[in-house]
Amino acid sequence: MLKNINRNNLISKGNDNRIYVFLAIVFIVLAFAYPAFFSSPNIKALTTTCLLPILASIGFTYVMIGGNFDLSIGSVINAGSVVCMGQFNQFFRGFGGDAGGTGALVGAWALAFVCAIAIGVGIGALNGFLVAKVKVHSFIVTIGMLTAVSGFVYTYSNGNTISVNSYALVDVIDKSVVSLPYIEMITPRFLVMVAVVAIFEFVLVKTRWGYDLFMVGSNKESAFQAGINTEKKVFLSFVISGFTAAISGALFAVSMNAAVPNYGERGIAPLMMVLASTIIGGTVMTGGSGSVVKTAFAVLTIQSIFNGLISMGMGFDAQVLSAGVLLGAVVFYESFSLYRQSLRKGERPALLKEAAELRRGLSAGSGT
Amino acid sequence: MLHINAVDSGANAPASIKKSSFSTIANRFGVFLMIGALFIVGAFASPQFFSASNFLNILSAVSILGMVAAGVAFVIYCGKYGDMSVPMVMAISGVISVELMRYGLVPAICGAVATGAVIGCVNGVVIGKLKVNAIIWTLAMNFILEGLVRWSYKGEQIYPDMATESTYQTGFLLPLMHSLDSHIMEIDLVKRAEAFNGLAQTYFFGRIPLMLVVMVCVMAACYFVMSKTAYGNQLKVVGSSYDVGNMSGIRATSVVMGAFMVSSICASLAGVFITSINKVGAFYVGQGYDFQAVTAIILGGMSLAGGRGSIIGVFGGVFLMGLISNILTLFGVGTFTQKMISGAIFIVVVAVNARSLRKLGRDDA
Amino acid sequence: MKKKLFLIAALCIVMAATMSLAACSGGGQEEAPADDTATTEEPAATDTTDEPAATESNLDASKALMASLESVKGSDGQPLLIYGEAREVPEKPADPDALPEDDPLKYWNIEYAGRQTEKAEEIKSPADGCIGKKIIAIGQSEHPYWTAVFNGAKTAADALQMELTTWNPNGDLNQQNQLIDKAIAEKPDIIMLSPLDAKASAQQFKKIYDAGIPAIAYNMVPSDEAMRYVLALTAPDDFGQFKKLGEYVAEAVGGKAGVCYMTHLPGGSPYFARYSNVRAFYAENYPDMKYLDHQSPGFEAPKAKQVVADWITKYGDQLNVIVLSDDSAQAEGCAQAIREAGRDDIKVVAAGNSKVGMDLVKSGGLFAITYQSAEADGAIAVRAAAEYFNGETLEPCYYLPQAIITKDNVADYEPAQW
Repeated sequence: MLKNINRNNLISKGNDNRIYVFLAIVFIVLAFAYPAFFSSPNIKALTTTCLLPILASIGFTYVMIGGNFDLSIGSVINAGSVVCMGQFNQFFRGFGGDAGGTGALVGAWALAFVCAIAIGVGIGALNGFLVAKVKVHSFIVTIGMLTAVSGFVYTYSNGNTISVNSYALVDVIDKSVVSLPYIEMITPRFLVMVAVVAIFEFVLVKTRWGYDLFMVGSNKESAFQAGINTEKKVFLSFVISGFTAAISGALFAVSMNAAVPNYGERGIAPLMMVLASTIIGGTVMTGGSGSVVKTAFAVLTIQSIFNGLISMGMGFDAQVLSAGVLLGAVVFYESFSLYRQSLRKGERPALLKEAAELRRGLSAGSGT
Repeated sequence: MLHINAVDSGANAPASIKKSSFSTIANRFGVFLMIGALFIVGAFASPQFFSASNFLNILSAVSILGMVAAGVAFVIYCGKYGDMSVPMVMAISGVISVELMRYGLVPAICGAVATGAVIGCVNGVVIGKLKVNAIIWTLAMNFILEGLVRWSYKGEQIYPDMATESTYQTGFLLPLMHSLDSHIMEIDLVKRAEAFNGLAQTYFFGRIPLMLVVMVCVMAACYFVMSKTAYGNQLKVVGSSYDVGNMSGIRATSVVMGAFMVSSICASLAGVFITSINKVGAFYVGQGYDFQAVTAIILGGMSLAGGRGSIIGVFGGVFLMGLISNILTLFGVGTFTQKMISGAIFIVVVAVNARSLRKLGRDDA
Repeated sequence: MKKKLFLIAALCIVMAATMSLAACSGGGQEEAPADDTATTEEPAATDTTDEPAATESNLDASKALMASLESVKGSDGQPLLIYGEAREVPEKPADPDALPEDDPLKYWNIEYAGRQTEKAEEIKSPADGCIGKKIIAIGQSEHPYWTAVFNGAKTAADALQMELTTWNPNGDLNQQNQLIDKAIAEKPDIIMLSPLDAKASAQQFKKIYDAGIPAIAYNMVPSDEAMRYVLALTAPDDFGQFKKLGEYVAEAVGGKAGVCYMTHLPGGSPYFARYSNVRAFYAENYPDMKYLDHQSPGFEAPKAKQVVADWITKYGDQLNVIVLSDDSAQAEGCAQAIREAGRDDIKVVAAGNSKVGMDLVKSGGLFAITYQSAEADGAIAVRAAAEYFNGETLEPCYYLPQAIITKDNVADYEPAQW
């Protein structure tokens, strides 16, 4: 992939970190336009909304860095939530229900989460197998999986919302660790999100595995030549995507105390939200570049805009328009700069300079 | 990047073709094999399965999808993955056609198609010239258009046969039309609306819906353009390799632009018809047609790598989608299981297709 | 250099756009406090003697407003603020979920949610009159139906001189949760919530209750558990209406027919009210109304058309009645399939009275539809809130006015609200 040639250029650095600039602008504008934006309850409401898309976007970013797409995450989120709640009810009953006490509760939740993660990892593995081994284009595989998994979710839940009668876990994971203003948004669920983001960012940036994934995404052929097992990398990126999508769905379901089989079928689907924020966060569509943290901040940026717009009494029209304009501007700018570079492709600046000097020298010579 | 494998694995292609004749057949006629198999299954589903009326039902149910898919096929054929702006192009053309309907059917359809052409043109210029990733750009476009439609209608929808003073306060062209034409309130809306709504209820020979005929015509026109014209050849070259096209003297930018315009124009035609069926113009028509069209096209054997496949295959894909849901309903399978089965069929077909392509040495991964 | 300029220009555009958006709404922000002062001054203006007397007069003025409820009309000319008739509630079975599919009591938890629930200790009404009270209403999605709901709520709030803010999560559960958090942070006098999901609403209403803010559920019946934390529910009587509709069409076909059902989105209460409920009702009262099939193709005319065409192919003359859960796209698709097959004898009934549905009733494409006033859906919730502030005890549930619309009486309900 052609990256900005002039890496030291201030602008290109700014572009790499554009999401922080965007976030700053949004914050500044909102601070003036909607003073209550920075009130503690609003910040808590905002961060809580971000948890689901941020978690789901981690795996999506991985897949995209590897040069692929995972459109199935919308269904996998629902699969994770439905399986988690459904299995909890089963295990809890199996452990003797309320009679089992805390032990039954903890055990049932633990097993339920294991099941939810297993289903996510399983779907991810299937996607990964079809893409990496059978060599079907990821766009196609995951479109098919999107339909098939949503069929599974409906069949599993029989189309119903699955609810849980115990409020024990939701009271724990959504309770502020310290209930002081401005840090009350730190709940166990928030901490889980931070931990997962940190781990996956670390793997991406600091480990050999992460470097290899970037290489696979930017040039599969040379990655292969360099001895990287490209198929395995792509496969694992899909597994991670299934894992994070499922866990985000499961945590969301717990926070609602109910799992909805059709979450995301109306409004801006989580898939679109995640896709837009991954791009705005600086991940390149063709792979080879990107960051989990930046994607997370992109989610925060978009949600802040939505939050501000709603509070100002603007409707969904303004929200979707702003998301579209932001996304459009980002891809447009990115492609425009690439386009300008491609115009210079094959140009030899040094040679041209020499030629110009030569010409100048000649004309000076003829002058005397 | 995507096309490297195709080149070097193509070297040993002739040897493997002989070995795997199944692959050849699967690759060439994949979707029709599937349809044939489903015919056998369908025979068990209901004694009425092979009746003419059942086939008419299947075809007329997918005629909107067919129109959309024929257009999107151009985009995929030129190697651009898909057109995510299809849903809102359908919605916006529907709304525009309802607004213009008060001046007659022809202006309504022309207006809708012109709207589609303009959107397609914008998409085409940005994607063709600047090489923006098609999916992301069209997605952004879809967001922007949705915002515009919702914003200009403020959550209301527009009926062909009803207009009061307040109707002319919202909308794209209505306020403008109202200020330019003082007699606009005197137009006999009911009659015009009948003509407009009649689009979806016009039948040839008493049974064949106009929509189906239009779909077949659109398919035929697209087939002609794609396989018999110079533009079609250019499209194939550009789809197979953008750079090769550019260097062999083809103006790749205009070719890509043309593909997106075809896609949007087909979508806007579909939008007019779906609005006519619904008898109401609103922002939510056309949702889901983006992915459905891609599904049908891929089922029809067109490759996302571009430059491979045909409109006949796309027609097969569209028909197959109608057939699957027809047979499953005839068997009394519930909606949930239908989803699961059709998703699974899709994955299997695609996997088999990809495998046979690889065996034939035409890997497109 | 040019690149730099371009970036700066892009940033400026984004900033300008956001600023202008902010400016528009900034105006709205400034208005709100102005309104506030106006309303708080109002009681003072009417009576300036002393504090208790002021509240007393506010209560009196509020009660006086309630006397003229009947004069408030919706855009279709029907009264807006009149409760529909209540229905008798049968005894709750021990475990409804364990009952067979065809038992009407299986859906007790959805049909009569909260009617026999022991409520959490009620948040006490200040009983100082509804005038000037602040309501935040959270809806479901940005659909024309919802535009009408909020219009009705505004009309009602204006008539009762309350202050209404409406928010819309556009169908996104995650977004709705955020709106609830925001609403709690704004500390209104009451929150009106139409939950996106019945069972998930228990946690939502519990959160509002824990924050000490009274809540009214409207439009959608929440779960039994959620009703513990809710003052009252105001909603269309979907179950009752569909029993009436089912009875009406069963009488028209002589109690003997094959029935197919096109359902609402699976899982929601309309799904059960408009499909399972009718099926159970027939099993009990009209055993010859035979169940043939049900499908959930969503709300898209071409898909609905295909499903109906497939039914006609499969069942032929056995199919006599189709029960739809939507009178717009589903009904249009269904009417077309029937017309193409030349099966005018099939009687189709549907829910709701949008313009498309009423036109279809007139043209004969639909046999009967239920009357569900979108504007009253919002307005009645506001009335219940007002009664709460006037210190009256609320019933657990209020229904919207009910009726069956057929060719004969369709003219009374025009023009359509959406």
